[in-house]
Amino acid sequence: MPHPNDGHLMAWLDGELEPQEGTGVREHIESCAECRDRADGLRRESEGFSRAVLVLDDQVAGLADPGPLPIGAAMSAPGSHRLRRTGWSLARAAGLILVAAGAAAAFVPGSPVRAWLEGRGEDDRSGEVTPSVVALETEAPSEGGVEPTATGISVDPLAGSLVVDLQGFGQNSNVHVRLTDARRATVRVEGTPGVPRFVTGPGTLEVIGAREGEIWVELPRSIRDAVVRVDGDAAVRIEDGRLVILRPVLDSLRGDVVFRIGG
Amino acid sequence: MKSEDFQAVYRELYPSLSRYVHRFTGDTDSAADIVQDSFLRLLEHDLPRDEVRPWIFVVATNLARDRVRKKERRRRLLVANQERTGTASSALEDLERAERIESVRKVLDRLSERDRQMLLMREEGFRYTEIAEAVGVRPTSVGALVARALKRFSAAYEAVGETNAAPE
Repeated sequence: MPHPNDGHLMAWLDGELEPQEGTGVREHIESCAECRDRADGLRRESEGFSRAVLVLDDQVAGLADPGPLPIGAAMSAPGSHRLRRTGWSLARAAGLILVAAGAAAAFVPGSPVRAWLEGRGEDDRSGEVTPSVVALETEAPSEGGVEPTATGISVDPLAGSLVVDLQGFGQNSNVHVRLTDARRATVRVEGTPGVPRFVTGPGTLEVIGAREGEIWVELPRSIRDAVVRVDGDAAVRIEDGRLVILRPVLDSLRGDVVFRIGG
Repeated sequence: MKSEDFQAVYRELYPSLSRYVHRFTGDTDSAADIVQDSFLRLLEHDLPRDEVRPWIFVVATNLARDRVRKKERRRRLLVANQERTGTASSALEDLERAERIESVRKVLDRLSERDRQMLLMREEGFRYTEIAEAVGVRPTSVGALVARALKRFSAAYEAVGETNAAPE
């Protein structure tokens, strides 16, 4: 194969080439140091852009939470800006209250939430990373004043491929898998006592838990090839942009596929 | 579009659209209005579900473009009597964050509108075919255009960083 141009390399990194073409680029890169360096350069520029624009989101509180849309007002009076603004303000206020802890922490440089939002864990693609803790959106503090917490990480697929390996979770743990329009894959673990460990490598993410928990795996719809494994056995694959379930499904709700690790 | 469908679409698309518009315009208030207006326009259209996302991003981009033009006209009128709406924070980290935001904003604004739209749509996970349709190029050209746009951004961002770091 001749040297791929930058457009081809970019498309390969984004998982946009046809499988055969992608394999050709990958094989070429494995044997061509010059193209490997160019691909690394493009990947660094891409990651640099992602990190750079992330800082702009600091200015928008509650970005991830739309809150309730004032749908009744909007639908009955589509042209009423006053109604919309009022409803919007209330919705925003409600959203901000719900995510107050998380949102406030997101503005503190160096805070775990900030780190999670910036996906700093993925910077080190070949080693263990410290998981970061995010506050869950919750309607009221739990009894005793202890806020439930979740841990999570997001990772970039490598050339459109990703392996998510779940290890050591209890038999009653539920795994929720869904496709999203995001570029990155995200794994969150909720409700497990203690903090699970996340280990990243090129195109792989290991999540090592010790007890029962709820595990949420969100995979980019654009990903070419992905597999979610439980203790080494494939549980879910992506094939042709669809989730292929390889084990009994516990539930399927709102696009989530849910299975139990012990199921 | 039915109310329940609309609410589901709203919840699904709001974070991504809001982030995109804010990054595109650099203006928090305008971005909130643009996102609302985009969703309200969606109410008036009966689109197949899989066409909603690219459609609403294009609508929001057009609204943002109009806002930017109007804002620029207004800025020119006010330039003789410029007022800064923010006050300088004494906190060093606030200052540093504000400088980073300003640098990124400056570099994004230096890109052509097409480069900016392509990079920000790609950042939101759009496929090359969708980006190509939105900006009016062939899907096979998107990889090369994105690669060039990223290089321009990186070079300009580095240059801004060096300028900021240079002693006066």
